[in-house]
Amino acid sequence: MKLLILDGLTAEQATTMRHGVWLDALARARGWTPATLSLRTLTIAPCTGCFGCWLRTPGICVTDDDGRAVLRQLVQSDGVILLTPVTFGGYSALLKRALDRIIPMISPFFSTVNGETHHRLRYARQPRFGALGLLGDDDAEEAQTFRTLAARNALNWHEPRPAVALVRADADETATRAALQAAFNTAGWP
Amino acid sequence: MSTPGQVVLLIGSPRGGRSTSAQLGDVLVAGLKKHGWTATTHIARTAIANPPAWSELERATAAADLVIVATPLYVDSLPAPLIETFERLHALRHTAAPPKAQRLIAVVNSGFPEAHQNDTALAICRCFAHRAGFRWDGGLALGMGGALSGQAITERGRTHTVAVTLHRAADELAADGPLSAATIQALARPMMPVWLYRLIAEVSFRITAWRHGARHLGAQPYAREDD
Repeated sequence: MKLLILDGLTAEQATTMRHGVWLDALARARGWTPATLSLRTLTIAPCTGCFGCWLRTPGICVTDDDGRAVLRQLVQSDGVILLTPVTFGGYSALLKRALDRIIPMISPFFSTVNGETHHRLRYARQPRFGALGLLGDDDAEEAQTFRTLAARNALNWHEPRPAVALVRADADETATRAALQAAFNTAGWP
Repeated sequence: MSTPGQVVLLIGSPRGGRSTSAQLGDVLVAGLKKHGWTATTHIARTAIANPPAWSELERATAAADLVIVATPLYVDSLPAPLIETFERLHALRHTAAPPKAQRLIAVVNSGFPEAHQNDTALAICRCFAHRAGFRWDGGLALGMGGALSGQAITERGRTHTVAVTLHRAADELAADGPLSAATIQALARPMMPVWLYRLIAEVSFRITAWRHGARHLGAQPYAREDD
């Protein structure tokens, strides 16, 4: 079972936030084979909103950079965890730049999920979806927004039970592992 | 009526001035100009990649009475260049508080028919406003954004309600008020039946793909070998 960790921390954040290392260790202990992509080391241009990945070269972004490799690795994984500082209740710009480039993973055509319009999936098998958010402080509005965002993303991935954990950025290994264990268990992940 | 002020229009769409976001923002700005306001327009993608453009945005934002964020929905959130713009502005304002009270609103549009799918993106804008010291004056959500693509927003035809509602929003903002619930609800109203919008969108996708020579829209170029 391949688990892809998309690490959206900056180099400066990564020097103090060890949560990705703890996530990797926990996933290994639970039987996953994790791989981490440190997005800060990759060259990923912003999505231009051209829809070429749907209507010119279906399934492949027209921009040829590391964004394509991220998508390929993601599609070929069994699960993905987004690792990010909670940024105004959402994901960091670094992580979002990669996420904006994964829309070739879905089809332009619509389906109805929970009474709402969403896109159909391109691939028969979709990786399970999860997120680990690191909160700078105890801002309840941002925490709620983050949980809602992850739930909305899960809906668009047709993921019924996402593994979402939220901890303080200064949380230690014990607290982080506990939050991740709970998230994995709730989602029914190995 | 309050004194005319300065408005900054910050466009989140990477498509910049050609985007539906820019069209929506331009209508709001035109409405404010009728009340004597002055305006500057900035594109997030350009600003983060171009130091002179960033300096202009920084200067204009510091002097603004009102910031209007006009953006498409990207993966249930904001496009990455707009988030980066927020990160940078927040870092600046964290160290140097603005000299006057400032307000911020957002208008988010998406290709989904349901306007409420934009709510999380609006919540992120609201969190940014709170963190960066702006008064949050409300968010407008528009579904069926594809129906506006390449079409002027006027008080005639299909865009009538959108145009009238944005003019009303501009009047409310010019009067120093937040966006009213009635205005927010009016913009969120569907422009056509959901089934019709979906049909038009899907036919449009097929025609565009055909013109580009793309024949197999369901291609799976990265499928696992064991799929």
